[in-house]
Amino acid sequence: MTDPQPFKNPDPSEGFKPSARRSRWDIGDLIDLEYFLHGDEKENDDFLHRRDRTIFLSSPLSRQTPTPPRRILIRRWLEIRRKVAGKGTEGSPPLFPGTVFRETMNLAKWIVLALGFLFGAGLAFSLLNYRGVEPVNVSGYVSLLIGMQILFLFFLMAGSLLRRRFRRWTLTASFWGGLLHLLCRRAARAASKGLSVSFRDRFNAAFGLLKSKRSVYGNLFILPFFLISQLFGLSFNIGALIATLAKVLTSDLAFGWQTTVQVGPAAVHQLARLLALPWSWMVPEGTGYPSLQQIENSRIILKEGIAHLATTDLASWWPFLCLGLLFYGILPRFLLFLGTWVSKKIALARLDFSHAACDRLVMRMQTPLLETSHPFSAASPGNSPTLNRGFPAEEAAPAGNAPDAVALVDETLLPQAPREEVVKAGRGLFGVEITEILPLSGELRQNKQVLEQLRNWPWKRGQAGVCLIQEAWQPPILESLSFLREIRDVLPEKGKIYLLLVGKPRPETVLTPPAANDRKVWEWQLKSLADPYLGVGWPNNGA
Amino acid sequence: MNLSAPLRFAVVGHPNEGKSSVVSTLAEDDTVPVGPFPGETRSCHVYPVIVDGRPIVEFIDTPGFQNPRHTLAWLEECGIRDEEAVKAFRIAHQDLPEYRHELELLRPIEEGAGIIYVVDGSRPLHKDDRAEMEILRRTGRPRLAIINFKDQDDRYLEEWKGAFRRNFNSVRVFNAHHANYAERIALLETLENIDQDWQPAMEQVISAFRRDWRQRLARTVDLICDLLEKSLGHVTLAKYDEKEKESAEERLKERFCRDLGELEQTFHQRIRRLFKHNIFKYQPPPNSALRDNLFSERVWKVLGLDRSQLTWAAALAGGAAGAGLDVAFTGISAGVFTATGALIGALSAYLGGENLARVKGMGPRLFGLRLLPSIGKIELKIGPLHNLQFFFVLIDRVLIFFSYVINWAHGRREPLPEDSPGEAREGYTAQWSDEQRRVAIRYFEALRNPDDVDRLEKRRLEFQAFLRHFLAGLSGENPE
Repeated sequence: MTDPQPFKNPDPSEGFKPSARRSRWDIGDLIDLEYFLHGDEKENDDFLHRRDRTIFLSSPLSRQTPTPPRRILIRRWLEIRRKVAGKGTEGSPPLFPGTVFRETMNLAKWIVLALGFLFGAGLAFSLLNYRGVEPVNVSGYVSLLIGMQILFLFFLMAGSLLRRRFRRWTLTASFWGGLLHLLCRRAARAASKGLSVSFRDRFNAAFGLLKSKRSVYGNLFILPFFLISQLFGLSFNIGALIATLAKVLTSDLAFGWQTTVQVGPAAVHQLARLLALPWSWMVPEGTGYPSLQQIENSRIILKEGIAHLATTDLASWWPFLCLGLLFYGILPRFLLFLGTWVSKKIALARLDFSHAACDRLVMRMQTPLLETSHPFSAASPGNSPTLNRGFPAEEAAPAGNAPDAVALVDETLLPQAPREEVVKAGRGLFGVEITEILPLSGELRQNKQVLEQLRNWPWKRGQAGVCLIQEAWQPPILESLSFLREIRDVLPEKGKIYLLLVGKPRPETVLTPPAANDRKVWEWQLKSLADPYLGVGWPNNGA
Repeated sequence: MNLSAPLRFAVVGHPNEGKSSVVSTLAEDDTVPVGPFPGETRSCHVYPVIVDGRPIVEFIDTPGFQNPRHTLAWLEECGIRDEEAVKAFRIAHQDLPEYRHELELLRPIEEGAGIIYVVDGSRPLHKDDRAEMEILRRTGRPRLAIINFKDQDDRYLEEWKGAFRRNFNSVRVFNAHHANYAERIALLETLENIDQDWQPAMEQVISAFRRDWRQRLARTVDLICDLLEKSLGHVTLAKYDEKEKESAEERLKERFCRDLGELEQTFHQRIRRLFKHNIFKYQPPPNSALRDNLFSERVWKVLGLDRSQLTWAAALAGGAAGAGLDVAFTGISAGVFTATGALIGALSAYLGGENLARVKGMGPRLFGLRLLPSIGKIELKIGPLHNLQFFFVLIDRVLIFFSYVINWAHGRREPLPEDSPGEAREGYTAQWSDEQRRVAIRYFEALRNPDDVDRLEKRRLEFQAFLRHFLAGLSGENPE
């Protein structure tokens, strides 16, 4: 995954023209769209969401209710993507695949127009070559310039019908499409066997991409090529027609027909009448197509020469040839061109951009960006002075001669902290004899009274000791620590403070072992007091 | 109400009660410092919820109370009206370092922030807590109490609720270590209803959270389909000398397993990132099927469909889809796994020797046609693994991982204890209805013939719609 560059949003008002153009798509746009979407697949989701949402919000479309249709949203997105990608490069603007496609098709259009015209005119000129020796044979002209086109039209219609019949047979609708499809499949299979893994994956990915786009856009990408081919046909026929008319107008042409097979003029007439059906309703026999008499009189029999043939009959064929070109060449090509052009426009207008990649894009554009900041990193506990855990055994007085201590117990704990248990804990944990238990109400005033009592306590042999029962699950806040300091202040020098940490109360006792973590927290905090006469202990088994 | 200023909530409470965890979970930000030591938060830290670049709501993580009883005593004795007393307290104590935390935590409240008071409901109520509640009551700001649970002990819940009812506008149990998406939304909705002035901002935030969640689910579905398509279509090829055929086969199987494992790992990373788990190093519980390799014996026993479900599924999918299943099951019962090792047990059992393609003879080819005769090398190939049980096992593993990720609250830092139970359930797919399973099988069928793009696209869309619905259900989101 690449590390995405920060997305710089262009000026919101820049480049936005509130016109019908914002919803108009062409195939170049679709190619660019797929190009950008394909590139996005490698980016991380956060980056994409941030970028696309910013694009959306920077556009006036975001303020419209209801939200404009997808084609407009995505179109706007595409414009900004192209603009931003264009700004990132120095010198000449980058060529997007859509632009390449558009420019290539434009160039191809003019090339096929010129080539078509030249080929058509060239063929017509060569077919109408007449040196006054023998008439131009119309059968060659008709079969090459009209018959072939009728055949092409027939194949085209048959292909179209088959495609309608077998809907899934899309690419195979044309011979070349079918061949291409076959080659691709064969190559893909070959790639999975003989090529390296990475190359095979890329190959399959590219092939998969082409296939998946076909399912999204149908044959939309084939239509421009079809249009180009119709343009070629159109200019070819126009070239041929102009060449024919020029030849007819500028030279004395004689047309005739000949055959080796036994076909009589009647059959030829029938064929001519059949071919002339499309125009015979407006240009009558004798003008639009030769009459039987004219056909009979324009038959060339080589051994007889043409001297006996009437000039008018020999010239009777040219309107038929021109009209044939017009009705079988120019008109169908024009109609096909027009029809394809219209259907391309309709297909483009009907695109709903509902495939998965567009779904994701629109969702990213329309889903608000949710962020939270990361203000700082955790502070680690610093080093503190060491802490006495309990007291060393040698410091504890021998049994029977234990120093006295006063226990301070929160009054809410007292009902579950019977005197004997507290005394036992004092002996067991700290080696002290608890002689008195003073309740603490938690009130500041009462705390002061207790402290005053301790200040004036009649300690035996100056061995002062206070045992404070502390709920370890209450974190050591400053107030608790300062109470310990206050106790220290009222005790004589070297007076001992025993902190008995207890866990959560059980119904029968409060003298429960504290949680290990709570204990650690207290130990860590007590270090900050740096009190050498402060000891900590805790019940191990609820004793 | 000034709509341009963000709505602010001060998250306050006793130290170490889980305030930072609550903020972390609410804001889905696992970089909020959370630690076991109290007092780690020493100053206010603002966690804004920014919708389209505009901060709408700010959660302010505050230090804990350090002197609640002294503070309350001062407020009671100062003789100033409640709302003014907080300001007076600040002025009177601004030069006293021991009150730094109180001054810091009361500052946003004095500036008008709403109050979210967090307590650990797994411990008894203490006098310090009552003092804090009283201090907050005296601020006069709208306030919500959150009962967080640092452990599972709920003996004191009623005691807490009782205390809160007297002092707070609303009370909510919210376990910052386990809260999922639905609970987060519910908490935000509670905030929305506490004060009428908060409604526009909270509505916007809730709606943004919801739409963001839906987008994440849609993206998850895309990633799942991507993983399924890549895994089922994966092919591993290798060329070896004829002499080392046996070891070559084993190496190839291992590589195939490793490739699929890497695909799964990549998927995990992307899901974690999608759900904003930046520092969360998820280690599944010891008994989880996710701890084992994809092709381990246990995974194939526990996940996917059972034998009868699979028979029906295979019948639905057509005979070929079920091929290899018997081998796999026989493998399990005959102890093939023990013999071959857990790593590639199921794979070996599935392949059973017959699906491991050998293409003897190497040489240049054109469109698959060999142009020159063999030169003593052998080419081995595994995949694509179009096996129905493998398909369901994969789905189960991604769903289990998804379920862990969405239920791992951002406020949680510590890993699961080693003795915690794994997922008690079997795989999810075994619990799907026949119709749900049919949708999955239709997609599987289409995957077996990826050349039929239209059909694959249609089946994928159908499966994705179902899966989105299912994931929404798992996360407690209304699929509509």
